[in-house]
Amino acid sequence: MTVNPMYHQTNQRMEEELSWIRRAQKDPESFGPLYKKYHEQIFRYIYQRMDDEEQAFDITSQVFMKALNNLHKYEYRGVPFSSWLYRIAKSELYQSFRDRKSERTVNIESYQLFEMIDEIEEDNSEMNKKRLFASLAKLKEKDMQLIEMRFFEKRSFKEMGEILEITENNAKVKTFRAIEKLKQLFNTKS
Amino acid sequence: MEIKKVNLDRQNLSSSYIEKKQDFNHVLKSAKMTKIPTWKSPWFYGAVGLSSVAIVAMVFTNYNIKKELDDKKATLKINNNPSKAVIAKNASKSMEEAPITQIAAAHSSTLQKEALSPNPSDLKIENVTIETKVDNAKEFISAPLAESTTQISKTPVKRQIGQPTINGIANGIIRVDHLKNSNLIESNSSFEITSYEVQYFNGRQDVVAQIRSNAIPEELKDQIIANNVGEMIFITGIKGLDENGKIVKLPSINLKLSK
Repeated sequence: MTVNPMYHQTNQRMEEELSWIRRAQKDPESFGPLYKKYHEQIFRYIYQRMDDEEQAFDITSQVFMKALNNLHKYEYRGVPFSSWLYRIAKSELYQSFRDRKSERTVNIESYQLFEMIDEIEEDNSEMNKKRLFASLAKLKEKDMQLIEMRFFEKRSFKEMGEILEITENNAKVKTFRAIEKLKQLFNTKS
Repeated sequence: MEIKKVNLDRQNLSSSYIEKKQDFNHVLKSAKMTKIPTWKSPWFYGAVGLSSVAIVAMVFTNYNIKKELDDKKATLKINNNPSKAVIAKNASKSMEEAPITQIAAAHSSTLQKEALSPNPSDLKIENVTIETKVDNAKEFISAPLAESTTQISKTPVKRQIGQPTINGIANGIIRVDHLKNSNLIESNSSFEITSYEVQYFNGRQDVVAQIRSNAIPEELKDQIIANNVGEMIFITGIKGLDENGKIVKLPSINLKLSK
């Protein structure tokens, strides 16, 4: 499953998006096209990290509400508008965890587990799948979010850097270290 | 933060289901409702705060200017007495750093000398600066008195009309027994003294006693005599009623208590 198929956009689409933003900055009702375009991917980003569907929809609404209220502060930096929305979503999501309104959950599909086993250079067996599943549960949150973005959501390092507010290179280094930690946990178990 | 749960193969939600849940109108309404009102914004607080500070500063400045003008008026009235001008000339520089008791002592002794043998040549000055120190406050008043070539031959006025006294003394040395025997602050018959303030040392600190009478209470006299021999006693803010029943402010009494 690819969560953000619209991250890589042509210049023409980026310009169109910018014109929507400019219009919405003057008239909030013009925010509609941006809401329609990004609602699903923001919802999926949030729902991927929690268990409660209704709570995920509520947080998604909060994200767009905040975006609308702070749209006058938005500055175009040559990256898709979604990066800004993801940053708001991340902030709202973690606020919800802090407020104990929802619990941090990791959602994985079987095929993603097999891909991960390949990544850590282990045999693709049912046994290893269970071990990896158990190891993922023990990862620290900051490492988990990198693995989640890179391997489960298939995000580029550039986009990861935009969302996490770090450089592309730093995103690469941190993801590499997270995989190393996962390998250690996997091998400790064995 | 702790990862609470790991789900494997959770059921996926379809895009059409998610789309059905879209509600832009709700987002639009909520966004309008959650907008911070103007009166809650930092800009509003900043503007109101600054205005308040400006108003307070303005009121305070006006009050100080008014006070300064009142003091200037009062000092200029005193300057009309030429004998005081000489005092000011002699004392202006030395008084600058001197403590209040020394200033007052210099003031009273010069006044006495002047009253006995006025020397008009001392009045040949262009400008006189009278500097008065009360606690930390410092007032600076300049008043032109006479042309440098003018000879003033007028005899200095020894006592102002309505000058209050204690045992007949308005400015200068008063003996302990004279103070002890004085029960009233007196003025000439046309004024009836109604209130005054006395500044003296009570053994621990300088205090100001406000008396609503022309009498000198025994307790006050005892405290003054016990703690102020050789010190200056300032009796100020003397108010009285004139013949028409109108309240008038009378000149101060400055005494040095001696055995």
